[in-house]
Amino acid sequence: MTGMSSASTALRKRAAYGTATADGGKPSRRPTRRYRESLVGYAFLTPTLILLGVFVLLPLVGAVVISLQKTNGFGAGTFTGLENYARLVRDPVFWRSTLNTALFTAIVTPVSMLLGLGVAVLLNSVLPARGLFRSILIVPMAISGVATALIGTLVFDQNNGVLDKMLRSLGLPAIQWQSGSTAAFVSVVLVTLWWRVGFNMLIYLAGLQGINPYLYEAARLDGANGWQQFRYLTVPMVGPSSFFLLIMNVIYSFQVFDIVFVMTGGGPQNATSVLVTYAYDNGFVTRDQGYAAAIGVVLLLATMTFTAVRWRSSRNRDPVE
Amino acid sequence: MATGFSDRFTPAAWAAVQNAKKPYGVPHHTDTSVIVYNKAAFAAAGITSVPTTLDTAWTWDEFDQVAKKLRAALPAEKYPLAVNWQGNGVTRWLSWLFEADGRFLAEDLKTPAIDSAAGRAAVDFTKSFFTSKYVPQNNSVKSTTLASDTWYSQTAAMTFAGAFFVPDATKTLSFEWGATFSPRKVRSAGDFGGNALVATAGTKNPDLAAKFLDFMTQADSMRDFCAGASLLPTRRDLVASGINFKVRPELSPVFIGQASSVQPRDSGQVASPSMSKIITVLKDQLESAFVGGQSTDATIKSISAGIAAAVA
Repeated sequence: MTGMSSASTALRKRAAYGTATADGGKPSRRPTRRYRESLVGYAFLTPTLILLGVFVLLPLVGAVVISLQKTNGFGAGTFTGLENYARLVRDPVFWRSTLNTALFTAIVTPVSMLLGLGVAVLLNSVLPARGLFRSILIVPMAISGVATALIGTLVFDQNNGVLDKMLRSLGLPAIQWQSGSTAAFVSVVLVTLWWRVGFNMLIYLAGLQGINPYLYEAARLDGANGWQQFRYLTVPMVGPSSFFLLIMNVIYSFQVFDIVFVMTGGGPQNATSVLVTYAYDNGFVTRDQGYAAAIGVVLLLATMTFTAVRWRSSRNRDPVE
Repeated sequence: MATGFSDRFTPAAWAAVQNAKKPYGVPHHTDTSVIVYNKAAFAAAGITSVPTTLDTAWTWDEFDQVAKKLRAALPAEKYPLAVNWQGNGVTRWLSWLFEADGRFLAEDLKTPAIDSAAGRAAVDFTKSFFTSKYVPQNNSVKSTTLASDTWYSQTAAMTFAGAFFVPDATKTLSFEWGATFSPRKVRSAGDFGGNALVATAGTKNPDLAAKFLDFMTQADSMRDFCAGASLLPTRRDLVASGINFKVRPELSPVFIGQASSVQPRDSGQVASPSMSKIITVLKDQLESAFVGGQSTDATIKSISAGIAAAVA
């Protein structure tokens, strides 16, 4: 409804604009057409903008407002200014969670991109049964994060998990995937990689298929070997895919929740606590929703800063052949 | 509500629905944890009998001996025990505190009271489950592996469980299992689970709401609900006469008997409006004590400081 009414408002405005220019006696074809085009563009954008406004911007402003309050989520909160942010600075668990999130992002992002690119190159070649391999790698994308993490718990359970049973049957010592701090972190990273490599592969595969095969032919004629073709042709040519994946992987990693929540709950002793699980604990277990919102705002700022820096510094987000 | 309405409930159940000395609802049903055990594992360790009345429940020392026997009889990757204190179930740790006759909140419900001999005894004893390898290391309070799953998979010989879990265990498990009372120290105790029914203060039809709450807590309604859903009654008369669960009725007396050990002074503390914050304090500090090697003294001091901050 709103979309339609704004479109009709736009039409009325256009009519008024057209009359004014006609009265001026100047040739007015071009500006009128451009104006009409942009109005049509805005009309098409309106539904999305409304959705974004209601479901993204409004809650975002709400979160900022809540982050300035002391509230348990029931009834009106009390405004406490920047008190929640001051508490964050002094809170060791917040810093531990920040560090864990950064470490998780720093490991998962490059590794899933590298694996994704490697597999994509393999599956873009004349590998037998590549359709089957592609499907197998993409299947995790179709499974929810919670289901993936539940499979993870079956594998990494330190009493009955498949992995430790295998290690024991080989006469090797079992690993304390759940009660050992480092092992727990590794288990979360491994399950995330299993989940995410398929997505990275898919995007890279699309990127690879957009590369003109003549470029490789030219490179071969110039005497480039396989590695040189990969390093100096494939890698730069999938630049836009890499840029997109870097942003997406970093954002996904900053926002990691379901896998950690289901597999380790942030434990043992906060060894796998990340910003979103810590925000959840504060918001819905401790019921300190103002503090939880403050963590959310910090996360938002970190994500936006990263995206802005990367956007400005990226030279190969839109390359041309 | 008619005068004397509250008399139909056990004092513990009525104490659990008070906020600032005023009732905010009616206790609809409750639940509490007892020991459930794998009969074959007990037999293999030479444990041939278990307590059959609340008064003869194992003392902590006897319970420790049972666990020790099981530890000796079981292979390294199996354990005598798994405790159901994961997640918000961390409040079940308080049963150990209550068994030692301790409190975590003083009678004013505003002052921490855990820094006591009873508090230290409870931390010491439960910490020893980890050091003596009575429980698997992933049985700590923040673990995502639930105690019941550890027991279902026969990794642990016994666990603590509420009545709610009887139908599922009966349907799922292929091994024989029984139930007995939780251990006692100075006295018996139990966690106080369950739900209250409430009507909003601004309801358009307060008389009808009151009638409904009255109806739902009549003896017949409560008996049918609790027997069918495998939960425990909050009415005095039903606790006295007992009920019969539809599934495994012979276990009903164990659960109802254990529930009778819940004292109003225990359930009153757990109903504190600051409980959500206290839960976080308990989780963090007990996790450090159980798997982080934090001393009993430091644990008690940190819980006490955390509770003081939570109720402030």
